[in-house]
Amino acid sequence: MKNSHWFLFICLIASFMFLFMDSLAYIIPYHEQQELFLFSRSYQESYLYESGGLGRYMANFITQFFYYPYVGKVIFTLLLSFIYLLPCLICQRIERQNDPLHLAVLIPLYLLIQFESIDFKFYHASNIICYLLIFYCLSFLRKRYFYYSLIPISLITVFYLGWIPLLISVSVIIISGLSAKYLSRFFTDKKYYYCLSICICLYAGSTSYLFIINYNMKEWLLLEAEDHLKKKEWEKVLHCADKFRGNNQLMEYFRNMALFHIGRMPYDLLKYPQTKGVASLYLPWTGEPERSRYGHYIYEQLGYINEAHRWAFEAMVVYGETAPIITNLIRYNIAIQRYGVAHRFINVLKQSLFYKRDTEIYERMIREKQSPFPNALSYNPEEKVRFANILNIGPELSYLCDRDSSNQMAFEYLMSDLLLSNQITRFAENLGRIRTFPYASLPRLYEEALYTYKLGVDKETYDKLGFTISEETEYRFRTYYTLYRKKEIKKLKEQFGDTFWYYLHFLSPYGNKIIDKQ
Amino acid sequence: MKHTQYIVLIYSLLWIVSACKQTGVTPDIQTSKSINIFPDYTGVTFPSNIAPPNFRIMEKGEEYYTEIGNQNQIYTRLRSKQPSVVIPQKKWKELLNDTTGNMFYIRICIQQDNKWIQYPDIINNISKSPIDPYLAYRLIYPGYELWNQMGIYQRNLSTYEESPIIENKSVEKGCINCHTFCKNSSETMMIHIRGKMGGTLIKQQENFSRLDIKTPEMNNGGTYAAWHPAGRYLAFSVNEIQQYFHSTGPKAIEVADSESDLIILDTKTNHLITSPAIYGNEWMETFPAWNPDGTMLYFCRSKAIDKKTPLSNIRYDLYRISFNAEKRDFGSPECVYKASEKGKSVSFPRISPDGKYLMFTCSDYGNFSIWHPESELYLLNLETNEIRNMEEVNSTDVDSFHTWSSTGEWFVFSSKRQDGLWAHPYIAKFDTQTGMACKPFVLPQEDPDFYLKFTKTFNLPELITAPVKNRDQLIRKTRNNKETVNREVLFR
Repeated sequence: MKNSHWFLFICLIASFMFLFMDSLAYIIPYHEQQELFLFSRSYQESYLYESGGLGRYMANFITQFFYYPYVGKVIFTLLLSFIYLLPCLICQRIERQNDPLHLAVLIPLYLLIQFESIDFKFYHASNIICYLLIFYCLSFLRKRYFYYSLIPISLITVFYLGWIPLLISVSVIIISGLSAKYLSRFFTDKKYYYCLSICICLYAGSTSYLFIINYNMKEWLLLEAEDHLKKKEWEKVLHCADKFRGNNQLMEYFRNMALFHIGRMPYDLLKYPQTKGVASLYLPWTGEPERSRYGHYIYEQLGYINEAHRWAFEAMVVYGETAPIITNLIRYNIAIQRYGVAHRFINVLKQSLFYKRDTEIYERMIREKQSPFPNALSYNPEEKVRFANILNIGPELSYLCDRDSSNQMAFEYLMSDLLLSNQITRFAENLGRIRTFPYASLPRLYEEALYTYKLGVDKETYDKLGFTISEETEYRFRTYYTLYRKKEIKKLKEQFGDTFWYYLHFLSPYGNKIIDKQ
Repeated sequence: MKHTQYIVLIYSLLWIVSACKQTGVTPDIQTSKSINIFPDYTGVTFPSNIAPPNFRIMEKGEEYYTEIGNQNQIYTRLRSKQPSVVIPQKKWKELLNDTTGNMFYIRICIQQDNKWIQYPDIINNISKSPIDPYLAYRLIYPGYELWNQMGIYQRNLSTYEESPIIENKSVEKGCINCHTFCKNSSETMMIHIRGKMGGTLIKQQENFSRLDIKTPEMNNGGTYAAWHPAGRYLAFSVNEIQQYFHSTGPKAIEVADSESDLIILDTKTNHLITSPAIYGNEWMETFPAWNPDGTMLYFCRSKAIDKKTPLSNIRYDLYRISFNAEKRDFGSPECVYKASEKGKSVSFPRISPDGKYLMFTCSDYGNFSIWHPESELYLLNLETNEIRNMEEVNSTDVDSFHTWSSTGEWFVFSSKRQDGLWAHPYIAKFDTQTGMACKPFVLPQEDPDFYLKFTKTFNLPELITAPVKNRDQLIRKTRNNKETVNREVLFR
C-alpha cells in the first residue's frame, strides 16, 4: 500500500513509452521541428522578459533533444510519469500517507489526451513539472514551513512559469493531500487493493476511450507522409496516402509527388482522386499562412528555386526561425548564389546544438561554389526579365520545360496539369516534348488523352503530331463508349475509373467539356 | 601575526586589482596593412551621444589587444582571446565627453605565432553635435506578403535600450507600418494598421484618433505619409501596390504601383483635400514630402501605366506643388528634376530642416527602391539646383529610405550593403554648409556579432527627439473602436 504509487508510476512509464513508440510517435519530431533552441543571449532575452517566458525557454531547451526521437520519447514519457509521481511523493512527505484514489494520475492522463493534438504545446507539461519539482524540494521543509513558503514561492515563480500550471500543480497537491488525509482511514490493506484496482481500471478505461475518440488519424498520416517525403521515401508516402480516408489537398499533393518519383505519374495519376483538379498537383498561392510551409516542396524538386525560396521565406515570416525553414533558406540561397544571405542563416543555425554540424557542409558548398540542387534552373542575366505566376503553375511548367527540355518532372507535371484541367489541345501540342525522355511507349493516360484529341480534329492536324495510338487503346475506348452510351456507370467506374475518359466525363472539377487553348 | 594576515590580504587584493586592470602590449612587428573590423567603424564621425560601437576584429589570432584613446589619454585597454571588442559604456562616455570635436584612435594588436603585430590605428571623429536621441524603426522579417510578429520600436541611441512603440501582438496581429513623425517629434505621429483593428492611428500630443483614410469614391487608401510642419495636415499617397517575383536570379522581387495619387488629410476636420493636379488617371504621384515652411509639397510622379507597361519603363520624376494651408488650395505642379530623361527614377524625397537640401533615392526604374540594388542616395541643393550622387555614403547595394535629424546635421538611411537582403540603419554626419556627408556607420549594437546573426530587417528608420510616451494609451485607443472609427472623412 505504501509503495503503490511506484507500481502505478512504472505502469505509466510502460504505457506512455508504448504510445510514444507507436501511435504518438509523430508528435516528437513535430515538436522538435517547430522550435529551434539557440544558445544566444538575444534568444534568451526574447523569452525572459515575457510572462511565462522562462517556462517556454526551458521547454524549448528540452525540445531540442527531440532531435533524437528516442531521447524525445524517453523525455516525454518520464515527464508525464513524474507529473504523477511528484504529487504522490509530496503528499507522502507532508501527510505521511498515500492518496488512496491516486487522483494525481489524472493530470498526466489529461495531458496525454491533449498531446494527441500537435497544437498542444510542450511547455504546458514542462511548466507543471517545474512547479512540482519546486514544491517537492519545499516538501523537505517542515509541514508548517512548507505551507508558509508555498505562497511566496508561487508569487515569485508565477511570472516565469505562468499561472495555469501553478494552479494545476497546487490543485493536484491539495486534492491529493486532502484525499490522503481524509480517505486513507477508510481503507484497510485489502480494501485499498480493491480500490487501487478499481481506480486503475477506471482511469485506464476512460483514458483509452478518450484517447481513441480524440485520436486524429488524418493528422498523423499527413505528418508521416511529410516526414517520408523529406526523406524521399516515396513508397512510404504512397502507403500513407493509401491509408488516408477522405479527400485532402495536401495529401493529394504529396501523393502526386510520390507518383512522379516512382515513375507512375503518367500511368496512375487518375487511379487516385484529384479532387482539386490541377490544385492537387501544387498549392496555389492564396496567402493563407498555414500553407506557407508546404508550398516549397514541389518547386524545390522541379529545380525552380526562386519560387521554393519565396515559399520558404513566407514560412519563416509565419513560423519563425525553425530548423527546417532555416535549412531550406540556406540551401536555396546557396543555389541562387546569395552567399551573404546564406551565411546569415548559417550563423543562426550555428547557435543550435544539433544543427551546428550541418553548417560545415553548407559552408563548404559556399567555398566551393557548389549548388545543393544540380537541377536548379540556371540564371541567365542576358535573358529577358520574367516574373513567376504564383497563382497558376501551368505557365511555370511550360517555362521550365522550355528552359530545360531534360526536366522530366516539369514535363510530367505539365502533362498532368493539362490533363487535369481538360486542356487537350495544349496537351497534344506539348506531347512532342516526350521524345526527350526514354519512355518505352506512350504512357497509358497520355494515349487516352491523345485519342480524345484525335477524335476532335481532322486527320491532317492529328498526323502532324507524329504519334500513333495502339489498337488496344482504341479497343478500350470503344468498350468505354459502349458502356457510356448504355449509361452503365457502375461498370464504367469499375473498368475505366482510372482513365482520362472517365475523369473528363465524371470527375473533372472543370466540367466534362474539353477546354480549348487559352 | 595579525599584521601579517592584513598584509597578505592587502597584497592579494592589490594583485587581483592589478590583474583585472589591463596593461598594454609591446608589439613585435608593426604592419602597414589596415585592419578589418566588423561593423566597419573606421574613418567615421560619431555623434557625441552615441552608444559604444562594439565590433569584431576580422583577423585570425591567438590573442587580441585593443586600446582606445585620444591624444591626451588612453580610455580603455582590452586584452582577450576573443576577437570581439565590447567597449565599457562608462569609459566610452568619458571618451565622448573629452573628445567632442576631436579625433580618437582604436589601436589593435594581434598575437600571431607568439608575436604581437600592431596594425595602423583606426582614426574616428567625435562630432560636437549630438544626434536626436532616439531612432524609431519597424522590425520585420524581410518577407513579401505574409506577416506574423512585428513591431515598431524606439532605440535609445546613447544606450542599447530598445523598447516597443507598438507591437502587433497588441493589435490582433495586424500589420503595422509606415510610422511617420512630424518634424522628428514623437508628440505628433501616425501609424497604419492593417487587419481586424485596421486604420490609421494618429497621435497629436494627448489626442489619439483612428481613421480610415479612404472614401467610397477612392480606389485605394492612404499609404505613404508626410506631416505638414504645422502638424495639422497630413499628406498621403494612395497607392495600388503590386508584387512580382523573379523566376530566376538573385533579385527576388519587384514592387510597383499600378496607380497612385496624392491627398491631404486635415486632422482638425477630418476632411480629405486634393486637386486634379495630383489626383487623376493621367499620372501616378507618390512619396509626398513637405518643405520646412509647409508651402510646397514635393512628390514623385510618373506617367500612368497600363498592364502592358514593362516595369523597367516606369520612371518617376521629382515634382512639387504649392499649397496654401489657410485657403487649403494647391498651385500647379512643376518638375524639379526630370530623372526619367537620364534613365533614372526618383523616390523618397526628404528636405533638410533648413530647407537647403533635398535628399532622394535614385534607382534605374520604379519607386520601391529598397528592392533595387542599384539604389543610391542623391542630393539636390535647392538653392543652386545642383544634383549630385552622394558617393561618400553610397555602397554597391541598396541605399535607400533616409530621414534627417531635427537639426539637419545627421541623417539615417537604410542600407543593404552587408548582404543585399537585410536593411540596416546607417547614420552619417552632414555638413549643412558644404552639403557633404561623412562616411556612414551602422547603428551600434551591444553584441558585436549582432548584424551577422539578426534576421529581421530595420524598416523605415526615423530619428526622433524624444521617445514616444503614452504607449499604453496608443494601444488602448487602437483597440477602442467607438471613439475612433465613426469619424467622417470627406472628399473635397
